[in-house]
Amino acid sequence: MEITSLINEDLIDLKIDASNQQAVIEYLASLLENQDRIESKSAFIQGVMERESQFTTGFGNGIAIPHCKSETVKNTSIVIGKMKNEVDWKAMDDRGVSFVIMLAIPESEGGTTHLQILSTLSGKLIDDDFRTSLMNAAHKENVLRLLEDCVSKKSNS
Amino acid sequence: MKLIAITACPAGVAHTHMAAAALEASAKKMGLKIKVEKQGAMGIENAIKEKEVSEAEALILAVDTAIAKSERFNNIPTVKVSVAEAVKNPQGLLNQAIELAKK
Repeated sequence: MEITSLINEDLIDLKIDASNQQAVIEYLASLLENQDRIESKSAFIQGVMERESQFTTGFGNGIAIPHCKSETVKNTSIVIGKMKNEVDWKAMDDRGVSFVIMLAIPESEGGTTHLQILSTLSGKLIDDDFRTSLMNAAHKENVLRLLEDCVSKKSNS
Repeated sequence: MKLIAITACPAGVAHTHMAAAALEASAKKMGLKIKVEKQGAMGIENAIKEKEVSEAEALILAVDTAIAKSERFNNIPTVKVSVAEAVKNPQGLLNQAIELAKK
């Protein structure tokens, strides 16, 4: 499966300076907006925050996976941010979050290929080795390569 | 011990698959057999077969949304939790299911 239609180097920032959850989400949403992948930035942010208010997407170990399934999403996308400082995400383990993988999902996704990629990636985040390599990746190319490997190989179950 | 589980979340993408992966990984570590059906944005994946239902000693429902075909499981001891619980504490959840199956 090709991951390049979902994410590219301009949808990754490994040095985000943001002091709180809202600022991180707004910044990552602006990366999506820059590439015309969402109709309305404010509607998208609202959707993500609503999802967070139901239950945190900070599933522990310093990583969070905020997401929004909405009509405002034009193209299925992954946007990745690493923060210089941890921010509070009301995470399940009460730890701060320093790595965020945000998913933008259209209300009606035509094919299942993109959804399959997001699903595979989500499942793979449970794998300690994969998660650690991803969080420690020093360059954008490394992040892309890890994602590529993750979706091209069938995850071992 | 044979267990079955269903995971489902509102968007049907992130947590459905994280919870399934967490349950599968923990079950493997604990030497348990588990079949995890995912009801998500792509419909039903890895569907539990009739034979697996009949052999199952307990069912884990890690769901935040209504699930399809729940009538299949009427006679199986069931632990029902939020999908987040399966991501957070899969081992604890498997232990709960084992306790329930022993009763």
